Amino acid sequence: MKNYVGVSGSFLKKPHCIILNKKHDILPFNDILPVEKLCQKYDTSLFVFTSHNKKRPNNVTIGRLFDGRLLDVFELGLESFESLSNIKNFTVSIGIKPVLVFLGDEFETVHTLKCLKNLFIDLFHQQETDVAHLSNIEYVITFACVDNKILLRTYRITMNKMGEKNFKVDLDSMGPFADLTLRRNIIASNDLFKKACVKPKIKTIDICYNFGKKIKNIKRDIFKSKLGRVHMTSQDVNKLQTRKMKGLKKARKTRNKN
Amino acid sequence: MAVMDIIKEILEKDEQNKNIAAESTSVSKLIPPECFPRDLMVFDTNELNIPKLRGPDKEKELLSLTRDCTQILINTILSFPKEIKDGKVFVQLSGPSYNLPREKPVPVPKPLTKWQKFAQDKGLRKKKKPKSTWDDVLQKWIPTYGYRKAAAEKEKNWVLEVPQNVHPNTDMFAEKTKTKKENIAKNEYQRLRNVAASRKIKVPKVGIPPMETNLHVSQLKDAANIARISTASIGKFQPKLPEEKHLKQRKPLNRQKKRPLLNTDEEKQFNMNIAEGIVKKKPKLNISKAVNKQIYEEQSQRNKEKQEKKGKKRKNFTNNKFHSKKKPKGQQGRVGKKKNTGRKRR
Repeated sequence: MKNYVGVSGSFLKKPHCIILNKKHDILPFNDILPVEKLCQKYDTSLFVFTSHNKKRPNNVTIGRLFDGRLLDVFELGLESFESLSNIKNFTVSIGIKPVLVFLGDEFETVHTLKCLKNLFIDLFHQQETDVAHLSNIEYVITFACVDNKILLRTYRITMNKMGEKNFKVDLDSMGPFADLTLRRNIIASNDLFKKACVKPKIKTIDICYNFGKKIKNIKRDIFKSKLGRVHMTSQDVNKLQTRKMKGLKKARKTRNKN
Repeated sequence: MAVMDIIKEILEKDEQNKNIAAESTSVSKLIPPECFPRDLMVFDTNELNIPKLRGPDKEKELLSLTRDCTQILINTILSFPKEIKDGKVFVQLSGPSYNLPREKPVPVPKPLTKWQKFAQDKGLRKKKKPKSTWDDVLQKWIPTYGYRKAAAEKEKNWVLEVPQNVHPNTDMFAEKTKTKKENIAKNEYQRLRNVAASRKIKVPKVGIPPMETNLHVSQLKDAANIARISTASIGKFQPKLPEEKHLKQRKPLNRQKKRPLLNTDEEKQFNMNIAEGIVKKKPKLNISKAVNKQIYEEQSQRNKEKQEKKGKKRKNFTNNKFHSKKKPKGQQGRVGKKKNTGRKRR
């Protein structure tokens, strides 16, 4: 089960994750330091850690760091799991941004679940986009909170054109499916979370001038079109191949010399 | 008439189709879900049908709920303006963005160095130096730095004049290299000081000035202070000197910082004020001090006169110590261990 989680999870995040398969003697809730060290080594802020023991079977620990220090961790127990490879015929193209759906008002009202939602978004969401192409919307990940359990479902989207402008959405179950129970957690203090969420004010001038860094060999003309300059080595005109003629052939002696 | 009927039929059919399309794509919810089209996220805060989600129809219910939410998202995405690029339709998204914590803290701008701060206050601007300058002596262009600069310098300064205030046998070339090295060292020191200031590390003052000249009291005190602290324990276990009190470090004076002068007129006025102050200076009269001085002088005069009178009738000077009635006590002056006498035993 552990393996499936790793494989299917990493498949969804493929170009942006590293799987560490070695056995570690790490307990994130007892000592977070080795995790922090590993994260620093691979320059990642998010980590997913799986473990299995008698007390806490099928354990998945999801957490994130801020400035190399722990921000929050959630421990989740897997109750039922169906991986991506179990349900055949469907694959996802790499690097596709999923649609995230959160069902239930508990994700807004309960503080721990609100934090967990934030973490899930951080884990699955990729960069914000200003431009979208409909064919790039391929799958949905749903989180529903029922009886203190989080139901994670993944569906594939198919869109059918209805009328001139509208598209009708149809879903097929794809996997991974999981029922998760909440176990231990560490939530960031309000101050730290606020500090982590600070958005710097960026002046438009700074953006125009590339934050004071000089851009070499690129100019913009009056029509704002980009003009680049390419530097090349000087061309050796003597070696230039021109039209071959018998009369222009070099003498044998000089040819051998060269 | 037949044509009109056909047209009517077609129109009706089209309308019907449109209605079907609108019905199949429209979703009605009690509370409209919150959409974040730039993040492709939907938060549905409607209450879930929990008994249904516990029963066997759990998966179906979840799927239908998810479908509705995604449909709403797609509908909002399609309502945005479209753009055609390379034959493909793209949608220009807008709307709020979900605030996620950063991975690393916001970068802080680099603190200015001492010189940069000064230049900014004074409004100095960097002038670009030319890459090479014309030299009249050598009659050629010499680069300001880098390749062929050192060679040109050597060629130009093949002989150096010994100034009058220096011993005639000094090696001016060695002197030159020495000053150059000192300059480099000074520069490096200043650079490190800037680094320390930017990281808020306290740097001790340069404690011991050159020993050849006579030192001022304050300089000596500084030197003694630094020497006291410069042990492995930072002076914690250093025994106190007999007059330790004097070695306490003075607090820095709270001087008002002067604003740098901006233009020449202001500077001239400032200097003129100083000069006038010196010229017009009057000695201050401290009345109490003057009165005390006067009194002291009078008293001392009187004492002198008295002593002169006494000196004539002088008696034998007696010392009380030798004539006291008490017995002398031993071992009073010496504290601690008794001094061993005799041969040193090993």
